[in-house]
Amino acid sequence: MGRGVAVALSHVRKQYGSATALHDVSLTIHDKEFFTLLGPSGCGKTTLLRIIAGFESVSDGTVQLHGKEIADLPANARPVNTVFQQYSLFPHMSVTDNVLFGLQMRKVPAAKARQRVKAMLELVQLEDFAQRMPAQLSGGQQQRVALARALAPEPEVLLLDEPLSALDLKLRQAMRIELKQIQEEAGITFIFVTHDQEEALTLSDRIAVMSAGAIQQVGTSHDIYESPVNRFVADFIGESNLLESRVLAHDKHQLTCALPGGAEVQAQLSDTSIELPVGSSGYVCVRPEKLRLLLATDQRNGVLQGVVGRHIYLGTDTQLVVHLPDGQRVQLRCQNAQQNAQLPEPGERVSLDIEPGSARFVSH
Amino acid sequence: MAGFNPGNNASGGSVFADMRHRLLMPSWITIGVLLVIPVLLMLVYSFLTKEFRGGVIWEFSLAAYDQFFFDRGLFGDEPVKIEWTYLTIFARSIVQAALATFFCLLIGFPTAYYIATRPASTRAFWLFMITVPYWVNLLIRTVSMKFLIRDTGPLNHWLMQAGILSEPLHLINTNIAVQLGLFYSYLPFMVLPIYASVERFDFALLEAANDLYAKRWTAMRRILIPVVKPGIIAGCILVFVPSLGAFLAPDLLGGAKNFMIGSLIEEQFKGSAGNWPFGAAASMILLSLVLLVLMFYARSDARSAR
Repeated sequence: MGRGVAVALSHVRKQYGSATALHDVSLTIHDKEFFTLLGPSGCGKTTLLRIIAGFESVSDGTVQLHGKEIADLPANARPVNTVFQQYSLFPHMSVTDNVLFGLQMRKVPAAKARQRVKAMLELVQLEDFAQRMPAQLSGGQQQRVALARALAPEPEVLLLDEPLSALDLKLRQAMRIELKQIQEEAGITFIFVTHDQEEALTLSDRIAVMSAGAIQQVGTSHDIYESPVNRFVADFIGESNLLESRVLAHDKHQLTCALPGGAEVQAQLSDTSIELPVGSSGYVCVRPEKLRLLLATDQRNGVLQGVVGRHIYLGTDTQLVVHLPDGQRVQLRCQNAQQNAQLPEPGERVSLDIEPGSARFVSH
Repeated sequence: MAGFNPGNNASGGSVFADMRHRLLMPSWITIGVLLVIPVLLMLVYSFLTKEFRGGVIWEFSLAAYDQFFFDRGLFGDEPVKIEWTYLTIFARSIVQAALATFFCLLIGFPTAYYIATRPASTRAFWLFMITVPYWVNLLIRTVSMKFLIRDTGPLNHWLMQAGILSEPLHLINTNIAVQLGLFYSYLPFMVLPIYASVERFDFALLEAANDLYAKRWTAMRRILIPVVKPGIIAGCILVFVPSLGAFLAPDLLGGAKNFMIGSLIEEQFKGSAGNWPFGAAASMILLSLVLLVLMFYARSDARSAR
């Protein structure tokens, strides 16, 4: 991308007694990137963030910040700042003093520090709350103070540990947009930890999906959603139909795979780092919106046959569950806007087609 | 549903509003009978005339206060001078109580911090260890202290055995012994309130300070101490106030030369040499001092709550 490297982790391992929290994690995060660590709780994403912040040491491996090795620097000597999950505002200090704290610690001259605090409070739209105490602010306002406080000392990288998780849904969605704007305005690398995939997909330039202390896939929102490299990513990001399958033939990463019921489908192998021999087992991954219900007027059979289970009305869509003869189930989405589309009743036999080019093959 | 339900705010609130005054009655009676009336009695007695064998004559007199502050000679006919005897005792008491508070804070804060930062399962054990000695009567503990530190006691014995001293360290009947006694008596009153506030302290705040370039000690000074200040102040009051009026430690460990205000008051009500109005007056002066300290606390508390 031609941008400098902000943070480079190389073969980082973290051991707590006999438990391994991180296995051999290597990662490169670019300058001014909005980078997200996404994964379920306990996957090691927060540990990784705390290692970059300096709250945890590495058992093995190196951590570089703009080319300098920082693994041995204490947190207070690293030019990175954190927005904590519970904000951790200093309860005995006003909003101004909270934001001023980091600047005072860095011995920024008083006049300049005041100016910076003012600019930060303007950035997060809290100019009118400068003299309030944290306890007098709402959750969303506290969140912004935390952001202003972390941005004030001009960190090289800003770390955000699930900063939106304590907010209610409406506010969370509003803060998402604001966060992205602030990041662009401040022009700083953000490393964002979340377990909320929607948050990750909407905010991030790139996402690292983590599970069980290891990185499963790194890529843009599009890459991760459209081309998951393994079963975990396919399952964790969005909704997926994972159908047991076998490789019948392959041409580089374009595979021909068997489907339940005997039909064949062209599926792409997303993980280009591996090659699967003919006969390998795995899953064909199809997103619910890429499955098409064939109508009687189509006068042909699709690649999958089954019996309709339940309908779930979701507002813009209706989700349909279809039971395949071998016991597997698939879900598909039908848009409610298509008024003329008469949905089949539960118990009706239906035939489904997979949108060409949308199937992916993932190994276990 | 609409009946008596303390969990329901709408109906429960009004039920308790009616009951509030009745529920408070025991407290009002306790405070009234055991606190307000005795203090008023003391105030009245301090303005009465003394009876020579203890007790009072019901005649208004300022003699007690006069005796406390002014020296008019043996027969009351000399030029008025300031009476330094009692003021000295007062000053000594304040200095001793202040020092005891200081030492209790010095030792009590790290102790409380240590306990509060142990795993939750072991905290109860450490707190228990702090309070164990207090199951024994204060008098007995103070006498034991006397045996411990006397010239031929175990402390001197060990110090000489270890070759640190060549002759016994004379501690009994010194201000140091009184200080030791006060410190020992009131240390838990410092540890417990500080423990309570450190235990509630959110240690993520220190991490946040650390993240914002504060070194360990700066984070402690700028974040931990201000946040747990109410606990520190409560501990200081709980040590300072009883130390100021203490009489067991000064009596048993300090001897006649190291008199404190508590002993002075005690003497006035004990035996036939007593002077009740004078004892009452000294008590009122002590009480005023304590109230001053509490007002200082209330003010700094209001400031930190703002």
